[in-house]
Amino acid sequence: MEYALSESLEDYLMGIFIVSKQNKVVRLKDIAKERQVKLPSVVNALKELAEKGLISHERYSYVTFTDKGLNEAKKLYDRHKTVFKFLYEILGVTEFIAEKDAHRMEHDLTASTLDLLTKFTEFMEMSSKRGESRFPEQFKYFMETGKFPEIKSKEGGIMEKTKEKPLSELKRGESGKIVRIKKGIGALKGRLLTMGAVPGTVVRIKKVAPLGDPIDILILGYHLSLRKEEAEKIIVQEI
Amino acid sequence: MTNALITKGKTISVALAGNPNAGKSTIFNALTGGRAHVGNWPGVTVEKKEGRFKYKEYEFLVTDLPGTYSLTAYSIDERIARDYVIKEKLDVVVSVTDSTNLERNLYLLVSFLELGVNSILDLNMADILEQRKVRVNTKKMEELLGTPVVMTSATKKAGLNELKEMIIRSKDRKIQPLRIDYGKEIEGAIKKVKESLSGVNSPYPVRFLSIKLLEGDVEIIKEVGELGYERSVESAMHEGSRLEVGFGYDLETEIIERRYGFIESIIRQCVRRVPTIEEKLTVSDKIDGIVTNKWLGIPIFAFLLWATFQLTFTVGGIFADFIDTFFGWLAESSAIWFASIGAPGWLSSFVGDGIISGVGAVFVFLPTILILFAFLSFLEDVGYMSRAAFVMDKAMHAIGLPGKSFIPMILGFGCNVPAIMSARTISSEKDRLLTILINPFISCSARLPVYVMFTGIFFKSNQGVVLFTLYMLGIVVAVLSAKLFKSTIPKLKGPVSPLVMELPPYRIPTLKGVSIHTWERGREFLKKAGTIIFAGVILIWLLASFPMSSEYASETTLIGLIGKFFAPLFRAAGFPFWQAAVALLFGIIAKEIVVGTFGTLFGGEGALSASLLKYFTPLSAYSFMVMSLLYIPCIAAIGVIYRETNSWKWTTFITVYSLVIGWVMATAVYQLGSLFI
Ligand SMILES: Nc1nc2c(ncn2[C@@H]2O[C@H](COP(=O)(O)OP(=O)(O)O)[C@@H](O)[C@H]2O)c(=O)[nH]1
Ligand SMILES: [Mg+2]
Repeated sequence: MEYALSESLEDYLMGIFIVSKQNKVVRLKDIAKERQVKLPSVVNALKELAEKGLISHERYSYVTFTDKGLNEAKKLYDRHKTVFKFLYEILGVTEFIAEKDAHRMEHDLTASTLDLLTKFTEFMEMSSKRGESRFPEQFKYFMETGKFPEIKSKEGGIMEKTKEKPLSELKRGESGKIVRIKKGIGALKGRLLTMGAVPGTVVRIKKVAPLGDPIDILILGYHLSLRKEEAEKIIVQEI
Repeated sequence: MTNALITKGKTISVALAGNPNAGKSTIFNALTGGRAHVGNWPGVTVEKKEGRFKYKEYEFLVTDLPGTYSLTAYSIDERIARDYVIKEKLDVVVSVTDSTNLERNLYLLVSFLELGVNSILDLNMADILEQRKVRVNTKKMEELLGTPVVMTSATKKAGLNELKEMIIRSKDRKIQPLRIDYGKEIEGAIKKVKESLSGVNSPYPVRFLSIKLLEGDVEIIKEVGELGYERSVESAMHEGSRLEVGFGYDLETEIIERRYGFIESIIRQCVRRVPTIEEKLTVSDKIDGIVTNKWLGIPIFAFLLWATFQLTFTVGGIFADFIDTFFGWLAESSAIWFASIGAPGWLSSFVGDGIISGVGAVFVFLPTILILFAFLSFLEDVGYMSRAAFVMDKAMHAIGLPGKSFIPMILGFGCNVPAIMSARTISSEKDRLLTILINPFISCSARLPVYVMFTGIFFKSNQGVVLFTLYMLGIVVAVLSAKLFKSTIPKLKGPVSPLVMELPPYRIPTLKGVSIHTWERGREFLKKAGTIIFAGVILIWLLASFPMSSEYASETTLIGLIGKFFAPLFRAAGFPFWQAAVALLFGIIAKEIVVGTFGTLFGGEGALSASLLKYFTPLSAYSFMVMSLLYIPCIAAIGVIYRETNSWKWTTFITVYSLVIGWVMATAVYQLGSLFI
């Protein structure tokens, strides 16, 4: 960056971005609400951002990003997301604190540290999704018991300690990571696996049919409907 | 003539394979211009679409395969696609993928590559990728997969020439089966099984066979067993349990997971997503929020069904009237012309009463049928049909059927013949049989002419309502019969097959796609009309003309005698006259012939409504429609039931059962109705 934004301006820029994601147009009062500040401070901040060519804002109209500003805002937002993910998903900090600390860390850490943190988070995500490493589970086990887990098999030992349940027990809007498909269900197992329900894949319950069954899950970016009967055969770990 | 010789050596056979809704048919239509030869796959009754086209000096022979997710055959559709790709010596297989959902779509391609099939990866729906600002590095993908990659946008006809060029370029490619690294333990097991398979004579690569054996693919196990290699099956089972005990591996899971891992790494390396605003509700999700909504889902479904028939009826009616008038005029003119040249009376009657009124009786319903199918294909292409199955699954489940048999039921409203065929996607034999057996009760469009004729005369002011009740009655009888069969027939007892069904994203269908689909259905109807119905009408004319001494279609002709014999049976149902019995009899050939028969028996289109008013009351007209709805499926349906169940026992059973039910219901309607009217 050839220009440095102050911490507060960065937060404003990101705040505007978040508001723009939620609403069609960005109003001053929405920004004030998102940043939890008073309107005059917003006006000041907007003036500064406009001077830097990041947003445009005429009086009495909505706030819009310039191309440069949008890029910058996205970058900030992504950075915030990864730091948040690192705290929340990998370390297991509570959501509220993760949010708060992410705001602090993203400004204070050196760029190269942040970069490595981002890479590390990505790596952990991939490795657990591909089911090749059990670092996240092992770490959870370590946090819970203070012991390093002894693993022999993928299905035994540490898995019992984390929260496993059949997919059918998740509610609408909840997500889970697939641990395994139950055995002894014949061809259904292969069918589910080939449709992408392999261990490590994250699924989310999107909808429940009007009569309460079947359910619609989001998996690998597409919608799949299963009866609760079938969902019961998929063991997930709550996330 | 030398031309023919040159082109002969330059035919390229191509199959389009891919997941359902990847755009195979759209590409097929774009390539062939929609001209297709529609037939059946040998031995089974799944539709086979083939087409030809010329590009440069080559003649392409394209096949549109049924949608499939993997090479493991979980349904007949999948088995056909797999067998075709494996056993037919195709030049090129185009793996059509929905590039907005590459992860799952690539699974099939990877299976092809492992099998050593000469395939091209077609990343279809490129327009949507562009919209979403997702970029794919096709060069890199080609390198990593070792197979050519092309991007198309079938609905916009973009990339098709590139696809053709690529097919030409890669038709003689030497293929090395793709090797995915399954990890040390599994690779060890693969090696052992491979050794035990040495010398096997199979169209599959040995490594592929070994992996499939370890995965526990039932079909492959059977095939290998039949080749005399039970040893290898045992070896695979032994390896499987060794790994399972020793390492806690579940081989099937592990192997498939590795394939997905491979796919993911490809995507990670080749697909760049410019960060977009995530988590926003997509349009598709918004629509789903409404049409599968807890409170709105079922009403919307019912409304769509109702609106479809209302619109079909009103709009179709306008065209039907026009065609009706035309054939009436034609019959009259022919009679005048025959008289003017002094032709014998029987010839004039044969042309006027036989041919023209018969053909007219068929054509008059073509608009209605086309409009109905336009609606159904529209709903199908939009993506609503699977939502309908989703919304209705629990209800279907309650009658012991899967949501999937809802689609054959819906198609049954068009024609029971393709509907019964479409039950093939139901993987469980038992569910499929049940779905087939109750399908004839769903009121097909061939019965529509009968309703149209009677409601047009007797229920002018509320045609729509009467029609709706008949359709509902068909559904109710189907449902109750399912319940009855399921609780009494041992072969049909037991739980419903599992539901694993994709809900595809909503798409705006193309006019071309819908019209081609609609026309295919219309043609099917016409073909049936052209052969069976025409023959039926001529047969009626003959029966109605002999002996020649009697007046045409009078009581003393053959047909009158047959009718008279059966007529008393229908006293309780309110139509004890021989014409009705004759019409029903010939309705077995095809239900719409009921109309043609009345036309012939009551002396052509003009006199028809006057005669019907004389013989029927509104109540007996209704009970006659109930009879037409329920009694014996038409010959084509009976034929297809036999083919699909491969059993005369089931075919006879359902024929007799439906006859009895039809008679009972018609009688009940008439008797109960008489009490109130
Ligand atoms: N936007 C877009 N839609 C497409 C494209 N190709 C196909 N579709 C739509 O996707 C749906 C499914 O296509 P279809 O050819 O029936 O798929 P099939 O099941 O593989 O034969 C239809 O509604 C098509 O109009 C494409 O390249 N771009
Ligand atoms: Mg298709």
